[in-house]
Amino acid sequence: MARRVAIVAVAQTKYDDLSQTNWKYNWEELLYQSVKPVLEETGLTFTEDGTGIDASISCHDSIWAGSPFSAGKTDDVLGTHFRPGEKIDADGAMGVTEALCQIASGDFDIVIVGGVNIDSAAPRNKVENYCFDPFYQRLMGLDMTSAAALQAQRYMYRYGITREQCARVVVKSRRNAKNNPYAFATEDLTVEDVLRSKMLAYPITALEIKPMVDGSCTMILAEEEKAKRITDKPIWIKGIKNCYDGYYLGDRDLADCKSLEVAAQGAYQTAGITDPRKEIDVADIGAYFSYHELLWCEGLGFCGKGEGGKLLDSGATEMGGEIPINPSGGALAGSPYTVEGLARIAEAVLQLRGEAGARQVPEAKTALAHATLGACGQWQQVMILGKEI
Amino acid sequence: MTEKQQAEVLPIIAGVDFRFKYPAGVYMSKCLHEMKENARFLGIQCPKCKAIWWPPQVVCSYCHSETGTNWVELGPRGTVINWVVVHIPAIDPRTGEVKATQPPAATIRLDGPEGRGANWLHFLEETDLDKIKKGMRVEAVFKPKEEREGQASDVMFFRTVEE
Amino acid sequence: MARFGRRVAVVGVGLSHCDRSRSDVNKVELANESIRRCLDDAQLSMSDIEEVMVAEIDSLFGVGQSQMWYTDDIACYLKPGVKVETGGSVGGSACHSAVHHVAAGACDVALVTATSKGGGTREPIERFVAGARAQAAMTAGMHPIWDRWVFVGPLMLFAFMANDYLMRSGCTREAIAKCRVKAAKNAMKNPYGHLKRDITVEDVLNSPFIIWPLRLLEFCPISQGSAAMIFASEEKAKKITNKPVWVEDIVSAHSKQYWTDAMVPIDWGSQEAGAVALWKRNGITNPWKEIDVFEMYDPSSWAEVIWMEWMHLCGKGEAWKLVDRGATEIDGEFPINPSGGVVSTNPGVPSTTMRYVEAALQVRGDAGEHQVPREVKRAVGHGFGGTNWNTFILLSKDMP
Repeated sequence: MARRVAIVAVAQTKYDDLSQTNWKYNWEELLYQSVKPVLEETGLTFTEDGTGIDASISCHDSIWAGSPFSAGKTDDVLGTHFRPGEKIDADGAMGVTEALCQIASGDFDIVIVGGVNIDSAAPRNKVENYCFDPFYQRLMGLDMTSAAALQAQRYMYRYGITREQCARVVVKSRRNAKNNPYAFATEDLTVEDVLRSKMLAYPITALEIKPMVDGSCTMILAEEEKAKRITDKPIWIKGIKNCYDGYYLGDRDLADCKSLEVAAQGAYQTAGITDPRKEIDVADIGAYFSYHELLWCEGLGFCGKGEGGKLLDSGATEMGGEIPINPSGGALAGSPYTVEGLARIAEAVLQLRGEAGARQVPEAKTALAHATLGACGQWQQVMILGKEI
Repeated sequence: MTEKQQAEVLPIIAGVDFRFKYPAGVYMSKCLHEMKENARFLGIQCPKCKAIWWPPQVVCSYCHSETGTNWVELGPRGTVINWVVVHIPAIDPRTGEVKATQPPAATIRLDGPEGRGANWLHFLEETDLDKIKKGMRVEAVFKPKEEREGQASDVMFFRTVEE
Repeated sequence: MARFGRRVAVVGVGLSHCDRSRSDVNKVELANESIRRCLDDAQLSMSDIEEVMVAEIDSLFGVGQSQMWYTDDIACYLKPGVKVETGGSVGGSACHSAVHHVAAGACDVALVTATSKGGGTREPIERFVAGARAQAAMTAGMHPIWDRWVFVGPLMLFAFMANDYLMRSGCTREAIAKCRVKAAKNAMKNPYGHLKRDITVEDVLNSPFIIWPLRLLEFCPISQGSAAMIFASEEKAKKITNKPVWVEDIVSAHSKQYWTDAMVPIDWGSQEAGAVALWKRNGITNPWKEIDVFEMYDPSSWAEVIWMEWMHLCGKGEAWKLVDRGATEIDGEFPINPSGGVVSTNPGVPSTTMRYVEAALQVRGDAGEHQVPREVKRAVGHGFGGTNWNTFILLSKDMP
């Protein structure tokens, strides 16, 4: 791309289930809790003259707010009154791609990206059912969990992945999350705890799906010269690619994740990565269901097809292993919709800045941040970030 | 489309019935609470550019300063700036109920400190179009306390007043 | 003046036929219809498309995360894409995303697709209910606690706008009616327009009040339709077409969230901020003289007239007089909406894309019967939606 772009500041709220405290904050107040720190850290304000933030991107998967124009709730806190704004209606990670393009195009130098969601205010299954087309799939009563169950079963059948391996992903995620001050679910779990929790749609149990949590994540991106002036720890976006698979679940072998392979290959190519397992120091990926982590490792090229379970068993993806996956705990420890992808990028940034505290991967220089959306991982995005330009 | 094609269009109903919760947040909750308990309008003023926000919000939309606890009382009187009359049935999105008629809806500039005000869209008691004028003075008429819910509709309408 | 790192041009456009109900196709097929026309226009095939930008408003139109459903029908299979939602301006925002991606070098050929299949019933009685439901659906986009209970959709907004302008400008209702008649006459010349009615000033003035003082014929219909555009890098554009329409600039201006404060009355500062930025960044000191065609997002003829002033096309209080003497007719001094505008054809989501398409066609000289009878070097397309979010595109024949 034309210009080099870095992430110069990130902030996130502690993800929490606000329904338990009667939802003290609304969307914009919750977003402001992560907007304020990035403004304070960088000293940037919203300006017209190129000395501050030029444009804002608000990310909101609008169906989770149950209203059209839902991203408009954040206009005041993101400084878009009579100013350039964009509103991405998908996972927040797409908003970062958008900011990157806005800056690399030369139109803006500094862009702020914010995403917020209050999962706990939404009727989960119905909203997910609404995502299926009204002619073939919706009337079957599909939601993301039952669709995931189809994929999990196919994946297990084809490659012999076991339920225990899937459960171990949850155990690992919660354990990693203990060291993440932003994470929601950090309890000690055993494989039995996971497998014995309520069965939602075989083989997926209640502990194997993303908890519904509320929160926000904001980051600021800047072009090279300004980035170097704003912070002495700019994190460079080295490669980024996203990809859509086909829509109808019956059109593909659900044990494949072709769109992830395409996204990963594209990002690796731009970033000059030929051996991802060796060259990537840490990866924070979008695992909404337990088996996701295993399957996405295959799509990312960390192991061969069908070897996701073996990779987990080898310990390579544990903290201290060859390629630690989800030091943050990921979505299985609680990430709101839309914010999910932003939180993964935020974790990658913190790791590369050496600010990941007790979950720091030593000397991390290259990180991978992944995002996914749609039934059975239809849409996938891979981002490679680097400490050095 | 031919008649044959038209006859072959089959309707199916695949709607989903959603119920969402909408947190009012810290600032709006306080303002709604004041209306319910004390029949009072509490807006907030930006400490930097002095703009008044109604409903109150956490930052100023104009200069992005935090509004903090700069509460200001507004109204209960205001000035009519603009008004319209709905002639079509309108569906209340909160309940799905169809409102066959409505009184005129008006933009009322609530009185505020230092001559600054804030706009509110609400109903007028006056239904005779000939009697509504730009600049006319109105006052909020609240529902009795036991009927108030902490919603904008705790105010029934704005009544014309002589000054 | 070149604004971006790489130059970007429009190399193809496509529109679907618009109607109250396109029950011959489902939503994704409707998207595909305009995409096929667009690919034909550019003489490209689906495999030439490298990235797809989807404009949609999921909560209004029946399917969540709709970009997923569209994938197979919009040349997006195994390709990257973007999904935006900026209310009625989304058709423009998706184009802006395409320009940014191409200018950034993320791709060389980007497709924008915008489709709407809302409303959609033929029965007269149901049509009336469909109208009320459409307003209620859009009211759902307003603040759930503060605004929804009192607002009656964008209709109410334009009624406020009308009353405010009547009071402050002294305009005549005939002038506004003439603006509406102009749109109808222009739409008759547009093969893809929806409402093609030979209406007169009397028809408009006698149409019933829907929300006083707004009359029925002063407001847009609910249409179903789709639009598509292909943006390409300079290098690719020159290979694809000998009539590239260059993107000189794009501007967006959004607005604070509460409708009841932002828009009634009537502070169109977002329109102004966007337009002024567009003129200033491109050295345009007198848009009335320096722009040849303006495709403005006009959900109501009142909007077209009033926003002329806020966009600095003329002075405050002057617009209705200009319209009254025919200055904005297709063969006038400053043609506005030779396509018939949104007030004749409003599928919502694609409506801004259509403004951009129409502006591009004018620059190319390919608008057929509704081509303005003058040389078009520069055209502006405008979009509006949400809680007053505005998009602008400046297109030109000459490479910037």
